This record gives sequence, C-alpha cells and structure tokens, in this order.
Amino acid sequence: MPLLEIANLSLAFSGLRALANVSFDVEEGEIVGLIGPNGAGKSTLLNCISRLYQPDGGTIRFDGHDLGGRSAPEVAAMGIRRTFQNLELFREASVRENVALGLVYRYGSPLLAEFLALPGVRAKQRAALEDAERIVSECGLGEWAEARVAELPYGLQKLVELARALAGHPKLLLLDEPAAGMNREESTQVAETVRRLRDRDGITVLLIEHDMRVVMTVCERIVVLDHGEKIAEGSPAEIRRSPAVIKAYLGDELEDA
Amino acid sequence: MITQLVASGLALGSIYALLALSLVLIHKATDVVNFAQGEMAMFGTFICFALLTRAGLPLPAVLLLAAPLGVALGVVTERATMRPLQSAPPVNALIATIGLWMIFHHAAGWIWGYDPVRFPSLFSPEPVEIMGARIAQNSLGIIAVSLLVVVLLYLFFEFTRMGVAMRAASMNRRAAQLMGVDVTRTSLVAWGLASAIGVVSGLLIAPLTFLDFEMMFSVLLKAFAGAILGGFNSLPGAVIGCLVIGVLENLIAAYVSTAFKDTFAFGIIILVLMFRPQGLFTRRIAKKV
Repeated sequence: MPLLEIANLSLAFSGLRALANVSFDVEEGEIVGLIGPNGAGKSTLLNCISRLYQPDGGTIRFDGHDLGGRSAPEVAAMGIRRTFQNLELFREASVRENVALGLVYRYGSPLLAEFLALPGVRAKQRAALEDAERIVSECGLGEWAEARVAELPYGLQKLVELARALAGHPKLLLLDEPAAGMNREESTQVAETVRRLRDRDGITVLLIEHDMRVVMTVCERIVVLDHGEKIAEGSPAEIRRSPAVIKAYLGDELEDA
Repeated sequence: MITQLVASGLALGSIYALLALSLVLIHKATDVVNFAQGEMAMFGTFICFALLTRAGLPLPAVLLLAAPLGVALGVVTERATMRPLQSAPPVNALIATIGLWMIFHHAAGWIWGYDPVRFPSLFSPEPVEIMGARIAQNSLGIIAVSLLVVVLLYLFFEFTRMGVAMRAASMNRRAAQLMGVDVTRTSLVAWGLASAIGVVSGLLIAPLTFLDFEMMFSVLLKAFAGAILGGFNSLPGAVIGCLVIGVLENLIAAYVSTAFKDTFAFGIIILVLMFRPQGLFTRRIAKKV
C-alpha cells in the first residue's frame, strides 16, 4: 500500500481551475519530485495535503486513512510535516526555540498530570530539548542556535524551517522549494540532506523544486503538473525524454541539467 | 510613609497586573483585545458574592470555586461569541468584545442592583511590621496571591504541552497548526485562563472598593496603561508595567494631588504610544525568550 495516495484531486478558486483530476501515489521511503511551470498547482496540491485547502473533489489517503474531514493539526499529528515556499517561522524566537517548538506534540500527557508531576515533565522536556539540540547541529545550524531567526539570511532560514519540520519526526515530509534562493553549494547540501533523511531515517519526501539539478539528482520519481493537470510521471530519465514535458516547459533547462 | 505608599502601590499594581495578564493572554493567543475583560471579572465576582450571601457558602469554598467559575465564564463566552467570528477579520471580534462589555455591565446591574455592596475582607486588618514600616496584611496578601498566579502561569507556559502550543500559536498561528496545534483549543484555553485570572483580580479589589457594577472600569484603564507600558505582547512586561503604574499612582496621589490619580494612566498610555509604541521592556524581554 502506498504511503500517500492522491486520486482524482480537483480544486477551483472562484471558477479558476487550480487542480484537475490529479492522481498519483507516493510509496513509503520514496523521494518524489513535483515540478511544473509557475501556477501549475504544485503548492495548491501541498496545501490540500496539509489541509489548508479543502479540495472540491477527489481523495487523499495517508497511511491508509482518508484525510477528508480532518483538520490541519490532526493531519500534522498523523506524521505529516512541511515547509513553505515563503517561510512560516517563529521569527522573534531563536533557532533552537523554533526547533524545540516543532517538538511540541511530543511532550504528551494531559494538562493536569503535567502540573501534578512537574519533575517528570521536566525530564521529558529535557529529553525534547536534547533532541532539538541534536537536530539543530545535524542540520548544520549549531553555530546559530542562539540567533534570532529574523536576523538570519534567507538560506539559513530555509534550513531552520526544515529542521523544525524534522523535529516532528515526520513519516512524510512536504518541501516547498527547499533550495530556492540558494547558491550551488547550498543547494547541493540540501539535496544531500534530503537523501540522508530518507536513507537513514526512512522519511518519505514529496518536494516541489525549480532547481532542475536538485530535482534530477535527488528524486526517484517525478510528477509534472501543468495548468492543474498531471501531464507526465516517471523516472528522471523518462521525464527528460517526455515530449509532453519538454513541450510544456522544461525545454532548454533540461539540456544543461 | 514612603515604604507604606510603595507597598500599597505594589498591591494595587498587582491587581492591575492580573487584569493586564488576562488582556495580554487573549491578545497573544487570538489577536483580539478583549475590552470586556474588566466587566467579566466584575460579573464573576458578583457570582462569587451571590454564592456567599444567597447560597450561603463559606468564604473559603467560594474562593476555591472562583477560578473554575472564571474558567467556565470565559469558555462559555468564547464559544458563544468568538467562535462564530473565527474566520472574520479580528476587528469584528474586537467590536464584539465592546458589545460584551455593555452586556456584562448592564446584566450585572440588572441582576444584582446598582448600589455598591460591601464585600468581606479576605485578609486580617491587623498591619504587620516590616523594616520598621507598618504594612497592611491586605497589601501583602494581594501581592502573594498575584505572585502565585504569575508563578503558575510561568509553569504553564514553560512546562506544559498546552502552554508551549499557545506560545507557538501566538508567534505564528499557521505554522503552529501545521505542527499539530489546534488553534481553536488554544483560543478557548486563553479565554478560560484569562477569565479565571480576571475573577481573581475582581475578588482582590472588591473588598477595597466595595462590590459595584462599575468597580472594574478604572482597574481596566490602569491595566491597559500597564500592559501598553510593557509592550502589550509580553506577560512579564505587563506585570512590570502595572507595578510601575500602581506605585506611581500612589505617589502622585500622596505628593501631587488625588485629582491626577486616574487621569495619569491616560497620560501614560498617550506618552508611551507616542514615543515608545513597542513598550518599555519589549526589546530586552524578546531577546531573553
């Protein structure tokens, strides 16, 4: 059974078609790329999965459960974490605190029990903070752990968002342009990080990316959207050769990849 | 003389601080300024008074019931008035709270009458001697109760899952939601907590001023001034701001004129908003957090 099954997903914004009958699966432990020209519906699709948008038609199943009717926090609690194209960080907090807040739902136990058993709670919190510390240094953010996020350069902020998503120990990680605004060296590092997450922690990844070098090296399968429709799906090699894709948008970008 | 003035100023300031904490709590959690906070506190205090006099419950029992009662009042109000406005712009909710102000204000007058009544004192009238000055037990009691509330709030935000979730939601609601924080619940908890703290402030002030349907107006004004002084987004800032207001108020009344006792709070609101809209302490505290 695939980890994520998207079937006949459709969504229109006041008559404007954003997604039309999109279907594809993501297997457990797979890294799948979602590409397409601007306005193809890629971010809209991620927003449907994380329940920021309610699709008009079709189903999304995660781990065998239908996500229809579930709220954003419920879906997050099922093990889906994400990052945003335009960053949604706790800007006034430090890097460490951002990551620690990503752990919030691993504190467990109801309110009253937490008040009555403060020492136990503190031990649990210490464990969570150690976990945050480990994630911060693994993402190469150790040097900036105390820095206020708003004061960091864009590339590092993207990394903080990724670290915060990882703190939720996701089964499925949705990444919206993780390498945007990064130089070649930084984007290579992001590609390596995504690979490592899958190889070592078994995290399944669905990522949107415009940097074709990143997409072609890291993804095992690619889904191409254009005007809200899926126009192709296959391995990077197949996508490179697909006439529909070349016609729709890749064209010369593929040549130098 | 000055020690007594400062001590009773700190006590007054503590009461303002409790109400200010309620204001800032709701504002941080939901972006709404609850103008009805004072009236809800007054209404809750009247319910406590009714339990005491009409239902004949003993004072300690009423005091124990006060916080849960406040939670209930806040939760019901949130469900009935804020939840339906959840997806409306925050200004709609803000106007709704002004409506709530009117409703609680006149409901209290209608139910319990418009004449002030005496509320039993919670602490012994005997003053105690501290560093050569005779300080009213009332002042010490008020400061102690407020301190307890502040410590409990600190533990809540620092160590409980709901507290941490609320901190996350107050910084970025959407991001918090996508980490599993249910923001409809954090809003409900904020209203419940704020209303409970408000009722505690009402119970502390009622013995000093008589219980009256208008008793919270000036307290709300001072709480606003103190919260604005602290930047309106910081809980410790609001407490410090209100303590400053309480002490200043007493000193001005004693050494300048009692005529300025209430107006100076307005003056502080205007001055702070003109020259330091982020509050006096926000920067330092933001760095510490």
